[in-house]
Amino acid sequence: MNKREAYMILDRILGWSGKYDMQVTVDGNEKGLTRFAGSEIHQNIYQEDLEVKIELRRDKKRVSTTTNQLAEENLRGEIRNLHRELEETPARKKELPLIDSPDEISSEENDSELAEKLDEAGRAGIVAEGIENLPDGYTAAGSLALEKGYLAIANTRGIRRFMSRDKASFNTVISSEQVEGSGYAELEAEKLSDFDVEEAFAAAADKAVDSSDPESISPGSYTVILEPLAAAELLGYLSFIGFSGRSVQQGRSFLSGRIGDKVWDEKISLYDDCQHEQTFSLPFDMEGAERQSLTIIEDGVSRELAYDLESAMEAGEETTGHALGSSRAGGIPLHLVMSGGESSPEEMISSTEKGLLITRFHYTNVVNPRQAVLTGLTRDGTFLIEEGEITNSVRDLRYTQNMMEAFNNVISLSSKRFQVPGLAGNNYLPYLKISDFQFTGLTEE
Amino acid sequence: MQEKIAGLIEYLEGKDIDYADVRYGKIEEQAVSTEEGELQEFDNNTSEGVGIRVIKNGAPGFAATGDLDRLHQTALKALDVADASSRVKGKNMELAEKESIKDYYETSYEKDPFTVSTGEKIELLREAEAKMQDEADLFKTSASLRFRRENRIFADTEGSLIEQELMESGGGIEASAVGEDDLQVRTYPCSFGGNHAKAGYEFVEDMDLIGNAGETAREAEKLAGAEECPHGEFDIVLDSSQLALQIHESIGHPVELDRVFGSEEAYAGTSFLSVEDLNELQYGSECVDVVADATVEGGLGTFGYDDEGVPAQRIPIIESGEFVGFLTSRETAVRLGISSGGASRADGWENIPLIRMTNINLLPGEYSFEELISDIDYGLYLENNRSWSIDDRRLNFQFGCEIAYEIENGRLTGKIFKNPLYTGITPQFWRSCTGICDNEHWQMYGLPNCGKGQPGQRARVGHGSAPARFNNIEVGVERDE
Repeated sequence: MNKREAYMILDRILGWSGKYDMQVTVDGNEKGLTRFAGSEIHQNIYQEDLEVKIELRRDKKRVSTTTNQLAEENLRGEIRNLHRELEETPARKKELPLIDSPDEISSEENDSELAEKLDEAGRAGIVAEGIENLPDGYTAAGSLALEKGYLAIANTRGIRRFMSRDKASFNTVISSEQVEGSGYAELEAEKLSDFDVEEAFAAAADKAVDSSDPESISPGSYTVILEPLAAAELLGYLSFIGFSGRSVQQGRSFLSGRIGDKVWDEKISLYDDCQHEQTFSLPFDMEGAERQSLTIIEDGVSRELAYDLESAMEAGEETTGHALGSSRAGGIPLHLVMSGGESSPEEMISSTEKGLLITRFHYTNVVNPRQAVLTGLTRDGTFLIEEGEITNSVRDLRYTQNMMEAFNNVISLSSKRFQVPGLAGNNYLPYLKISDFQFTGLTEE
Repeated sequence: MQEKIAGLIEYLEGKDIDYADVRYGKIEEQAVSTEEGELQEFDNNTSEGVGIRVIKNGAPGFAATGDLDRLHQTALKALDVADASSRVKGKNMELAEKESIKDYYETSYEKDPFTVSTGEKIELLREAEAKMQDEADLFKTSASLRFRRENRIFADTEGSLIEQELMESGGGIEASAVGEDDLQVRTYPCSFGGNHAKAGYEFVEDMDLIGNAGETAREAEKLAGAEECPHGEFDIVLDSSQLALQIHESIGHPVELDRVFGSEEAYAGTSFLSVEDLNELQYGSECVDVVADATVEGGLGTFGYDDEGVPAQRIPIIESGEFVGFLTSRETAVRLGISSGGASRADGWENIPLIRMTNINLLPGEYSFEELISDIDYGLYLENNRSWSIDDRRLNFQFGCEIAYEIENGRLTGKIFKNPLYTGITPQFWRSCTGICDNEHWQMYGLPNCGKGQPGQRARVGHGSAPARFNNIEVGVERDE
């Protein structure tokens, strides 16, 4: 769907708004995803859908409906239902405004080469090539996908928004039935030139070979070197539970009452920036607000929170354009960028007397949001470092860690940063070396 | 719609394929929630479309569309996808035998939630919140309801044509209170959106959210001032709502046969179980009996037929502690030479069916609650989940609960602790089960958001259980200074 077609749908529906405030969102996507396991394709799908969300407001009341049946008769019926429901809905204390500026934001990032290379035949060819090049005795599992998405928003205050994106994504676990241990790689890109699946297959295979025959080590406190994927997992959860205005207002955030305080080590500066060339450009949020960049942590000091319209109004602030489309979620930073440091992964390892190099975490969850305690497990490549060298791979461990302490225990950051997939596109993060990271359990009988 | 689908099946039969099925779905959902007495959301969502699965030259293809005018183009796309799959193929994909069935099934319910007025639903939530706020010093309150109606039609090239009408209702309330640098939450009847069932609005009325609001609020306030849960090895008793998640994560997922075969290795993970463990592994103690029961009245994982047209069944998973059965689909069952257990389920019309839990139920024992705790010298009774995490082979789990009630000398002392956390290794944990309450205490909980697959799918599953006792469990985490 192109911009003109999207605006035609929006204008047609807004034409039925009558004396009500109305916002309409058109959300469509076309997705092809090839899944493989045991080095063969076992699931292969294509999906297409187009949904329209209509939100009706009047007299401090609001209700909404979403449908993928776009015939006029159906849409008019949905609006009649909204009128009836609005009548039965109690008024809120405050009127929630609709976004009214700028008039238009439009962004189209479609790499035709990406779409050509990643149709179902192209995906099968790429997977076949990756599997062919695996080390003897190893098999691959994973997925390779292309998603063509478009989003358009308009409202009775006159705004128009349009965004069209193609996104490719890939992940793989490489393992062997004969040898314990596995390797992992993951990437997302909007351009074919940034999407090197061959390299990702090779990186995962190297990691699988390196992590063979792991040993068991005791849980306890270790210095850890987090690869960017592992760091992204922790920061993604912290973003969700603590970097939003709503989480602070609800008292759930570890930043509640601490804005402006030094909360992390001064080596940490963390931003949310959808305009950064290493993240994905999402110029407006699901409420139509222009997405702002945020300084979340500056030299260890907590600075700015992410807001949607409602949480911003409660805080007496302007929305920062981070709405996810549900007021229950509030505004969430999705494009995390951390400043680099002065170290390198090699220096981090060589300067470690005893520690662990961690590829990624699995099944992270929140133990206590207010205290920023997370738990989870290492997966697909965890390595023991002794006297400055990697000496062996180790079996997976459970961590249970207060992240306020962890980000105060940062020893160094790598100067080089890496694109790693996050909640909605890429983050851009360095390696992190952290002392006294708490491992609390083994993953074996 | 049945005619359109039958026409599509006929069209596919002329395309030199091994097999095809077509699933039509229309899903209507409604979400109502309040926070601090104000309406937070009143959202309706309707989604309608068709998913077409084919096997061609032994390779799988699937295509789905929400545009009901593009069914034949979508069928051709499914064939193109299968052709692509055949480029990276091992053995030919086969399906276990099943009967050809023509049938209609519907959830039985008394009161259609979609006919209950908007005002009545909102008023219920606001009253429950007002009751919580009246009864205790709270930081925040919230309440929510969710309803879902799904019309499904399934047809395949083996002659089946099945229509189902499924109805779901659910909801819950939440109170939070602030202590010293801490926020404590208490929910009713369970956390993360409350309890859900295949039922009508009568399920919401029976939960009595208003009647339970006061106790929920008072316990939240008490928790905010409670001591931290002690760390150590204790006998613990889990209530049915926490057991629901314990069963889900440490029995339901590891017995999914697709995980055992490695199909989910790159995302959710595999399983510590192997095919050789069947009828060999002592999964739990002798008092542990678990079934996968898609037929139980009101279970959120209850249906008439799965998304391969296989009838709902009651499958033994653990008998007297011995592991005796996997959750299976047609594609996986055939590799064991058995028929499908009917656990192949898709999240809506747009996704392929995967092996998903139905209702994974721990069968009741013989104890009253008083008897269950009577020989515990010192222990804890834990209610309602607060956090969960388990490794990719489903061995090492860690759960947090909302509240721990102290047990001393076989009785509840009345003392509560905040932030209880326990951890274990799956078979060791289930082998430490030394008692389960009787049928009077047995209760179903519905979890509407079990994630699996790429692209991600959410399954709606149920878990029935009665409070159960586990001996010598590690509570809290040891910190290495």
